[in-house]
Amino acid sequence: MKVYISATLRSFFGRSAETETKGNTIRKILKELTDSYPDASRGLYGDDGNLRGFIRIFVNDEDRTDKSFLDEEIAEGSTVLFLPVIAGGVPNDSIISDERRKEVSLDDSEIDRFNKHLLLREIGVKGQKRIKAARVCVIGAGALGSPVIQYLAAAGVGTIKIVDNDSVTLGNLQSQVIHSSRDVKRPKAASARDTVRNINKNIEVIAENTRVEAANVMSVIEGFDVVIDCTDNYKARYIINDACILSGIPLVYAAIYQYEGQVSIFGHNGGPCLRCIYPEPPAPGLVPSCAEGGTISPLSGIVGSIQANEALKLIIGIGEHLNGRLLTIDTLGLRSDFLKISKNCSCPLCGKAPTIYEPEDFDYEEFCGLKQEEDEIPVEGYTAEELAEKIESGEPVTIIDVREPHERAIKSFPGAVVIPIGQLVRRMNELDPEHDTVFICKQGLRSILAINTLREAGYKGPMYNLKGGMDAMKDIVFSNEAGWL
Amino acid sequence: MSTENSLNDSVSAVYRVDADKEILRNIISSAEREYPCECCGILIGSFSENCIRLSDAIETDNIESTTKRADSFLIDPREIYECERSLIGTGLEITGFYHSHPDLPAVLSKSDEAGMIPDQMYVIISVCKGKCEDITAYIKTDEIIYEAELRGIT
Repeated sequence: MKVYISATLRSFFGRSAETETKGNTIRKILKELTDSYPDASRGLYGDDGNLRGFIRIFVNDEDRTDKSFLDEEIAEGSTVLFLPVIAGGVPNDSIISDERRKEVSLDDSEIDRFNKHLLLREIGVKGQKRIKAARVCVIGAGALGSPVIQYLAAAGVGTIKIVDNDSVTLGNLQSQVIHSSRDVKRPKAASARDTVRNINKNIEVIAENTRVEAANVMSVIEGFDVVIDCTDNYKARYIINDACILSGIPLVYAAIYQYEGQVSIFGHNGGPCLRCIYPEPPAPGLVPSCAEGGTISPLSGIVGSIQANEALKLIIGIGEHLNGRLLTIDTLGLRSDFLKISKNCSCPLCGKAPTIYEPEDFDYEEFCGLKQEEDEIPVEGYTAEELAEKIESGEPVTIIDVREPHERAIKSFPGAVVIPIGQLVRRMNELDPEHDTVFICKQGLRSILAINTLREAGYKGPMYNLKGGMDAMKDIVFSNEAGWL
Repeated sequence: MSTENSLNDSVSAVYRVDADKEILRNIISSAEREYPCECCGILIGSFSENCIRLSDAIETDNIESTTKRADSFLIDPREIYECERSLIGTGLEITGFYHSHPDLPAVLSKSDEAGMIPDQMYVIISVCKGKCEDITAYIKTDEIIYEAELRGIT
């Protein structure tokens, strides 16, 4: 049998173009070739023992590479060609492997449903299969979670986990568009799950009514391809960031405040993480959370939609990612910008000498000095009722409001002196050490910080904290308004 | 990271591809013409010690683009066979292959790497919005992939 070997493969066959073989099946010919040329088996077979992917065996112009032709008898006088197949594709950074993509298929209704995706050259059937094969964990079913979960569901993500331990309140409906009036008082995770089922009942939704903590975060995200952080507080953000980096799962991060938002991707392809920018979370109380700070309604829609889009791009493996970049959006000035984030080699989590090996359930109160130590004088405080009584009785009392202007605008405290925390020490002389001074903020945390700050600065007068802050006061302010003023 | 860089630096000096500027221009214009599909073709020349001299490039049909989608390419093995036969007696041989990456960087994709034939040169043209942005060359020897220095000569 005449065997022709392409020049491109010849380095394995002593550079001879044509040889004669006795065998009359492909299996026998292959055996003869590997026997005569010592390098041939290395060239013909991969580590898995299969014929290398770039080799095609033609018998008289017909492709007979498939294993099923191995023992088929070849007619006398045929020519067997060993040719290379030159193939490749565009770089693909999808976080969903080809194997997993190939395991799923699209039925007729899905081809109909996702037609707009299939029309896009970059997505097509392959991309849509990747989306279907993807497992996405969304932590937080609030303002950011609303667009994220709904768009991922609409896009056809096969498995979506929704983690949230809160229940829907009336105040949530201003921005959390995944919930509706009838969901008030229901767990957010369950409400969001129902919305997903209404969009596409074939999606596997896992609703977990749990708070993400260091103890459970690793198991919450285990087995997922990407995690989307839709939480509204620093403690959760750091725990999620740490868990994602330690598990090697990419994280789509976002945060919103008032009119501004930021989005980034952490821990993807060896990129930076949240701790590369901020090794430690800021002191609570100093930074108002979204619940305190307020946001304009569509902001979470804009930022969350970008998160969903980034997650889909990671899944499909297309486009420019926010890996190593922080997108900032100002919806008031309608401006956006990219901040470059570099990997920090002294990052305590992903740097060269990491000090964090498991998600830290750091004590947030201790961390920022709010927790009273044994030898520290405890901060005395009044409950809302006690303070109202004290004021009504006409006792001389100075009220110091340490809240930010926008917070006071919602509800001011009559007769309170306004001193932001940063100015307290400088304006200490405005306080009367002979009288009781009560410090108020929104939730009663920043006011403790204010008292400790003044104590450290040497203020000797009696200081009290309004426990629970203005939030605890709100019923009293309205019901006893006459008694107050 | 630093070891990787130094490895790349040292090997790009080891492998060199010298190509007539005319050939490079032809490859680039075929990549731009096929955009947003991938173009592909055969590179012809001669091998010498650590250097490949390119003297011709033959554009081939991308049989993948007609049947499937535009993000991959496939050269018919029979076209390679025909090309080889035509080179008999010319002293030239197939030295490698080229293809384009529409809107993506000129780096080897996973499927490119998987299909690399040892000791053949792979030239990749990155075409962004219809214009060539970058052109690179890679070669796989002893299971290691090196980026080669691609030079246009007149």
